[in-house]
Amino acid sequence: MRTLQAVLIFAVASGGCATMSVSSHVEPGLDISRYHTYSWSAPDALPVPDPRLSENPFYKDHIEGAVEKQLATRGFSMASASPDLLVHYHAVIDRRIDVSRINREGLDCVGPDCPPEVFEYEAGTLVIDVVDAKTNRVIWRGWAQDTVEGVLNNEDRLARQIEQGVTRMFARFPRAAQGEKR
Amino acid sequence: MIAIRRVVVGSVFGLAAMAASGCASLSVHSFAARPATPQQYKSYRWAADGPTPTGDPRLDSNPFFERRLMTAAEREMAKRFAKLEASADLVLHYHASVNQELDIRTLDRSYGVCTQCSAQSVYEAGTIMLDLVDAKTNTLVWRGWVEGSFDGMIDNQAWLEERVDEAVAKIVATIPANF
Repeated sequence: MRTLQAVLIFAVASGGCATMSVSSHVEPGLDISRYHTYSWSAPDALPVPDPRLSENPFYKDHIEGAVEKQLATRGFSMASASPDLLVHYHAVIDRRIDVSRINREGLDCVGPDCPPEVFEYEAGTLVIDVVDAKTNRVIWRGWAQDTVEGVLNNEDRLARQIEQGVTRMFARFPRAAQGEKR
Repeated sequence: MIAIRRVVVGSVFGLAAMAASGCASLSVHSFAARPATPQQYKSYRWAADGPTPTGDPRLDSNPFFERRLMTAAEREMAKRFAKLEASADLVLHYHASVNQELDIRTLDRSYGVCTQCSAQSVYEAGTIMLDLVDAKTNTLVWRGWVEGSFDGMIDNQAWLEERVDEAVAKIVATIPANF
């Protein structure tokens, strides 16, 4: 049991596909303290949404709820008239490949003779853009990528994954008056 | 701490994989039409069409990436050509794409030749391409592009910016001297 656990932890840590990856890009020299209010806006036209997400009412609710919570804890308030910031998001699902190392590290096959296993999985990417409403320039983009195998049809798992992704994304959001360079 | 260690271990594997497979280097390619008159092109402008899809949602309509690429191109082009808003001799287009690649050699090695090189076999490969179109004849006169690993770079803004600068400088350097 313990060995199996260790193998699973190792697989999760090294496999890549099972872990969420989160990052962001930010405008150089951004002074976030200039902004106080925000509003939701429509996403840019380029990405094609996956119908499994765009037709899922929970998806929108969970994302917007999670983002609103993060922005509220950072002192931003929602404003329907002339907001400082516009926020939009889109999610994309695409097929990715990974190479499993479980067999080679596991019990049933040890050593260099074990063949690696190449497998395909579905990965979801949630991208959130924060736009300066006056200049219409994106000032920050955050994203989270993770496998969505077994997640799309399971509301609890989808909600947890969105919550985790948005929380980790906004942990990278620039903070006012700290002079922190990213 | 665990996260930091994973990053370090990841980069060691990544570097080892790149060093072993050669995917850390950017390979640069180009082709050029033979110019009718040497040194006939003095100026360029950006094409009016916007960026095309990159195949990666993190880079699609990503203004930080787009501006970095355009700034790098303008800096390199300035060594040879004047940038104009209209009636330039050349029109410059760019295109970037990212996709996953499977490194067969690292896979092969794990079939018994090498026990230590079970490293990363799937990586993100990128292509950045620049096109110069003769504004008068509307024909493509030069295309330059780099291909290489961008693995982990999109998630690291500073690293991505360095890579973009390096890639664009290498591409623009292939514009023939007699252009």
